[in-house]
Amino acid sequence: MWQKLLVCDVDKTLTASALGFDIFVFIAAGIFLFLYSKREKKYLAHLGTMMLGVLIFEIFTAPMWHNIHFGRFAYIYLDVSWILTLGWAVLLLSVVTLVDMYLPKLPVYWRFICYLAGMSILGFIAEISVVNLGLRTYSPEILNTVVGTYLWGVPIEAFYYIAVMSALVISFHKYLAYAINETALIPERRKNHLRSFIATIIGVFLFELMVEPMISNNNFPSWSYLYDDITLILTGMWIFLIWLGISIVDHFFLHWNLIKKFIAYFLIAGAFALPMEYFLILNGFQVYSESVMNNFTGFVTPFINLPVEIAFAVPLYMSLVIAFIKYWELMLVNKR
Amino acid sequence: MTSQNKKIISQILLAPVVLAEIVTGLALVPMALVSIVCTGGVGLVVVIPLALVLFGVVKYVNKGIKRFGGLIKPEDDTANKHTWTKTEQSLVNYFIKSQKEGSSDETAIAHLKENGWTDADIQNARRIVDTLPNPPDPTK
Repeated sequence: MWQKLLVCDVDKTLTASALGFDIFVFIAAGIFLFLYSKREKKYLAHLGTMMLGVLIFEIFTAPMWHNIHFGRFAYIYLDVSWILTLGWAVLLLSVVTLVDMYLPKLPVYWRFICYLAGMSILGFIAEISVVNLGLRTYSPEILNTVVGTYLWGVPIEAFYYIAVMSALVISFHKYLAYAINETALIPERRKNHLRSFIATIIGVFLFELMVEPMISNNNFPSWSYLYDDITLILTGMWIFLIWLGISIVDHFFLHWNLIKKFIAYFLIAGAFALPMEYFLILNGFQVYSESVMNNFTGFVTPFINLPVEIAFAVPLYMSLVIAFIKYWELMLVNKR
Repeated sequence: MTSQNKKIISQILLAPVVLAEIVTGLALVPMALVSIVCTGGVGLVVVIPLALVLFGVVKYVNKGIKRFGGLIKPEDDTANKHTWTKTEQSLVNYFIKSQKEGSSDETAIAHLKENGWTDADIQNARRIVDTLPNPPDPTK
């Protein structure tokens, strides 16, 4: 059984460039926190939620890229490095803070677009740095999917990946920030189900497009394929399931606070997603890529023998997508 | 529908939630093990707080499940709480939080009206807020 743990055998040897990068992230985080603490009382909680969002994203997209040479102390799970988590979180929080500070009059949804625009540029520069310092490589599935245009070693598609990652993680952070700041949010008397459904479509579809290299969706009717192997049936089922879970909770538990509701969305949608994922894998509708399989430790869940990584990834996926949907709903109602 | 039937139906509805909770919870154990072994112990920095948070969430959820499934009688743990309706509770929470933020009642009422709340609902909630000696913490 212990041989299964060898799967974590990534090259963690600390190189000079990685040491420089690690030190740079520490200094940048220190300066940022010093300045941020002057603006935000609960600065550690805000950094914590952003880091949690980044970590969730990194854990379930781990097979798509390999983070190497950060030093043995720098990893928290397989090749997921907490230094990168900290770096991304500081970058995201800096962009969000700067946009909120300098463009306070802009409608909040335009500010969100500004976050993504800022992150696409700064995140791409960060990606160029880690790739050229030899700290990050991409999985073969990613390299097979990209169109082949590279900017300083980074596929042009990184703009899309960074924008989607930022959209999900910033939404996750902003949703929890409402709870941290105890923001007065207007209770919705009549939920706008159409708006909620559109937000769910956007959240799920963007995400599916992003993780598409990790999973093949097979054996669906040919008419149902929308793009590459993204199928209307499966994506539609995810959309319906998540939207239904959210609608049920919002209808019956209007009076609950944001955290209670978030746990409830997550549990209801997750309770049906897990058996559905099991059914899809068992019947060959979903096949995981080689890089994903290589990341499996071999441990399986009790009762349904699903690789633990999948059992764990489903709720992680849910938490980010649900936070995206709910943040947009709340933001559009409250305009803040 | 009798209360016994309601109890059975709610327990059936909750069964997949409980099962998913168990499966995901047990999946975490080997993942935590991998994290700790692979990182030479550094992973504990994440695993310990995560385990504590999850333990808290599971305890909290299980309490909710038991209550929803009729395994705890409402009077067991709600004796000291206000018995407001969902609408009253959500509007009262909104008023309290708005006051904490320094917004005027007029602004809060205008926002509620914009979102379709009736004058009766708003005035009722407003009356409750006025009668509260120590307003409950809306985050609880």
